[in-house]
Amino acid sequence: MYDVLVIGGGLAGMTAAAAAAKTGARVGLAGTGPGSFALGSGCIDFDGLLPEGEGTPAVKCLQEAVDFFTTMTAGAGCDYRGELTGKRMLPTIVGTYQPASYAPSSVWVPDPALPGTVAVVGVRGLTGFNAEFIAERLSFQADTLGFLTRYHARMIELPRGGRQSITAYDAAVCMEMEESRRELAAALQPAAEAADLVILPGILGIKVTAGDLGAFGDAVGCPVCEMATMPPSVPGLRVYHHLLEYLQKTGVELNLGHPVRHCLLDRTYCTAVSLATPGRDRLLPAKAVVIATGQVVQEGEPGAAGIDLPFDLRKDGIKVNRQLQPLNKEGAVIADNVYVAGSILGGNNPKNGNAAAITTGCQAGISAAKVVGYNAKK
Amino acid sequence: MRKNERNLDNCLKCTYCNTVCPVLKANPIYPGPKRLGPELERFRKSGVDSVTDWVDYCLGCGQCNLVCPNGVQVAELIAGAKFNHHKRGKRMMRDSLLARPGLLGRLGTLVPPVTNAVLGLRLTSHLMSGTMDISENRKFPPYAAKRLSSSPGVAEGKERLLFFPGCFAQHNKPGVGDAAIKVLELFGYCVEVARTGCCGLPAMANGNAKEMQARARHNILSLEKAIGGGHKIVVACTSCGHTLKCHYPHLFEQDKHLDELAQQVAANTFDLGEFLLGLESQGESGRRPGNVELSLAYHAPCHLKAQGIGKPWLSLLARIPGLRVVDVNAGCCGIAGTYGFKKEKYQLSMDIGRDLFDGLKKIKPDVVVSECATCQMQIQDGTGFAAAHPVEILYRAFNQTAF
Repeated sequence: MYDVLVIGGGLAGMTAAAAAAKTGARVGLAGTGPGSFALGSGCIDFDGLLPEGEGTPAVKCLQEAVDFFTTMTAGAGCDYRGELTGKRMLPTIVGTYQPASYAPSSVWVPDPALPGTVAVVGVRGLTGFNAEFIAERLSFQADTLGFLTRYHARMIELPRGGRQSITAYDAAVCMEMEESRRELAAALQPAAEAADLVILPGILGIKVTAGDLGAFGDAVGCPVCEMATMPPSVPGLRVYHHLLEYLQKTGVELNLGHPVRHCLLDRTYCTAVSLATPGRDRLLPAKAVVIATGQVVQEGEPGAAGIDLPFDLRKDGIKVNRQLQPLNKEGAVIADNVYVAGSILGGNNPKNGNAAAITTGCQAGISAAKVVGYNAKK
Repeated sequence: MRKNERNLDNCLKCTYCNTVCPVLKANPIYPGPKRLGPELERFRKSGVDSVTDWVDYCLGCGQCNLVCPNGVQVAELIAGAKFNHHKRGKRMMRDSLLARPGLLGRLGTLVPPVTNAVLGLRLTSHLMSGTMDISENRKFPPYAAKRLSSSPGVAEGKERLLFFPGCFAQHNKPGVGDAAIKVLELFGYCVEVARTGCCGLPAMANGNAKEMQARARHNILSLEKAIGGGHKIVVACTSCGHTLKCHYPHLFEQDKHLDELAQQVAANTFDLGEFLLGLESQGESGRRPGNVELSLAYHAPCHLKAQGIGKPWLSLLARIPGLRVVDVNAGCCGIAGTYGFKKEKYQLSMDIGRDLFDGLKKIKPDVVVSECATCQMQIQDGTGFAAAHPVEILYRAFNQTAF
C-alpha cells in the first residue's frame, strides 16, 4: 500500500513523486516512457506563468517550487542554472535563440548579448548538427538582435568515432568513458584556444554528473556548452536518468512500463490503481494519487488517467480546482484524494510546459502527501 | 500479433526505444529497435524486400516495449521479422537445434553422465564451433539424472498448484525446482509438476514460428484440465513466465478454443516470487525463515521487468535474518538464452553484460541471485561469482528453522 501513487513518469510525475517522498510518505511511481521533456534540452521557461509584480504570494509559490526542483536536480547530479524572473537566450541547432528561465548547467551559456567569441564545433559523421549552418544563422540572429557574441564554425573528428554516420546517442554512449572525454578534450584544444566558449552537440554522456562535466570543461581549458540535438537528446535524457536514480535513492518504488487501466473509485475516494500488466492487471492500492499522464494517450485505454472523465483529454485537458483536484462537468470534485499535474491540465502553452510541470507537480505531490498526514518539510 | 496490427501507427519516432536497447549500446552499428521494428515493418507489410540479418541480433528482452510512451510492441515486430528471416547452412542447423532445448534435454538426460562427459570434451566444443558456429567459450550446462516430483498424494484441505518447471529445472538443475516445490509446500500447497515441455521462447528467439506454436499448443493443452479446475500455474523461470503471460495470448487467433485457453493460461500464471509475495501480503507468512549469513547481489532479469510485477524477491529476501542483499540494477546481462552461445554473438553478449559485471565486481557478493537460469550462467562466465536462483536461498533459510 502506497501513501502516494504517482501516475506518469515525465517531469511533472517525477517532481510530484520527489515532493511527496520528501515529506516522508511511501511513494510509488507508475508510467510508460519518460514523457516529452527528455526529448528536448530540459530547459524551463516561465513565459506567461509569472504574475505581475514581484514578491506577490503567487510568485513566492512559484519560487518555492523552483527552489525544490533546483535542490532536487543538484542532489541528483544534474544541476540547473537560472532565475525565476530572468531570461537567458540559449542557442539551438537551427541557429535560433530559445529563451529560458532555467536550464541544465551544460546547456546554460553565458549571455550572448555580451561580447564573446564562440566556437560552434561540429563532429564529422554526426547527423543532424551542421556547425557551419548554426554559426552562420546565430551570427545573423545576433546581429539582428544587437548581441555582441560572434560565432565561428569548427569541425573535429570524434576520437574512437571511425564511422560514416553516428547519432548523438551513439557518441554519448562512447563519452560515458572518462578516457573518451579526455581524448575529446584534447581534440577540442585548437577550437578552444581562440574562443571564450565552445559549443558542442549534446554528446557528453548520459550517466555523467555535473562534476564530470565540470572536469571536462577544465580539461578543455575554456567553458563548454551543449546543444540539444534531434531526439534522442542527450541533455534531456541525462536529466531523466539522474532524476530516476534520485527517486530510487529516496525510496520511491518504480513500476514503469505498463499503462494505467483504471483508477478504482469508492464514491469520491480513489482506493487503488490498476496497471495493464501481461496476463492480468496488477492492482496498486494507494491512499492518495497524483495523475500526471501527459498528453500522449494510449490507444484503447479509457483516457490515460483511467478515470472516466467528462472531457476529451486531448482537446480540453482535465479541469481542476485551485488545489488541483479533478472536477466533473458540474464543477464538483471527482475524487478527494486525487491531484492532477503537468500537461494533462488544460490550457497548455507549449513554451512553458516544463515550468508548469514542475510547479504543478510539486504542488500535487505535497497535497497528496498531506491527505495521508505528511507535511512538507522546509 | 493482434496488438501490433492496431498500433504500428502509434510510433511517434521519439526514439526512446533506442535509448534502452542493450544491443545498440554495446554495438552502435546495430540499427536499433526503432528501425528494425516500426520503421521496417511498414516496408515488410507492403511487401517491399527489407530482409536484414540484423533482426537476429535482437535479444528479445522487451525493454523497448516498456519505454514506449504509446504502447508500440517494438520487440514483437522484430520477433515477427525473425520468423520470416530464412537462414542457410550451419546457422540454420544450429538455430534449429537451439530452438528445441526441450528435445535436447530429453536426449541429454537419457544417460546424463555420458552426455556431460561428451559435452565437457574440448573436441566437442571444437566440433560444435566448426560445424555449427557455437562459441567455444561457452560451456553447456550439465544434464541431471534426477526428475522433479510432485507433492505426495493430495492432502485434505490443501489447495493444488501446478508447477511449470521449464527446461532448466527439468533437465539441468532440478534442485531449483525442488526448492520451489518445497517452499510452496511449506506455505500449505499441494504442488503438482505440470507435464509440460519447453515454453517455446527459444524457438521464438531463433525465429522458428512453427516450433513455437507447437510448444505452446502442447503446453496449453497439458494445462487445460488444471485451468478448468481453477488451479494456478507457478513458474520459477522469468522467461518461461513471460512467454506464458505475454506471448501465448497472441498465438492462436485462428483457433477460438486454443485462444481462449491461452488467455486463461496467461491470466492464471504466476511468477514464483510474485506468488509468494502475494501470499505474504495476504498475511500468510508460512514458516519463519532462519538465519542465513550471506551477502547477496540481486540481478533482475529483463523478462521479469517485462512482466510488470516489480522485484518481488527483493522483498522476500529482505525478510531473511542475517542476509545482506544489494540490487545491482545494472541492466541486461547479455546472454538472452541461446543468443550468447552463438559464435558471431558471443563477444557482443559479453560486451552487453559489462555494466552488470562491473557493478557486481564492485559489490563483491558471496552469491549472485537471479531468477533466470541463463542470466546465472552469464554472470558466472562474466564475473566468476557463484550464481543461484533466489528460491534456493529462501529454501535454505526455511531449513535453518526446526520442523
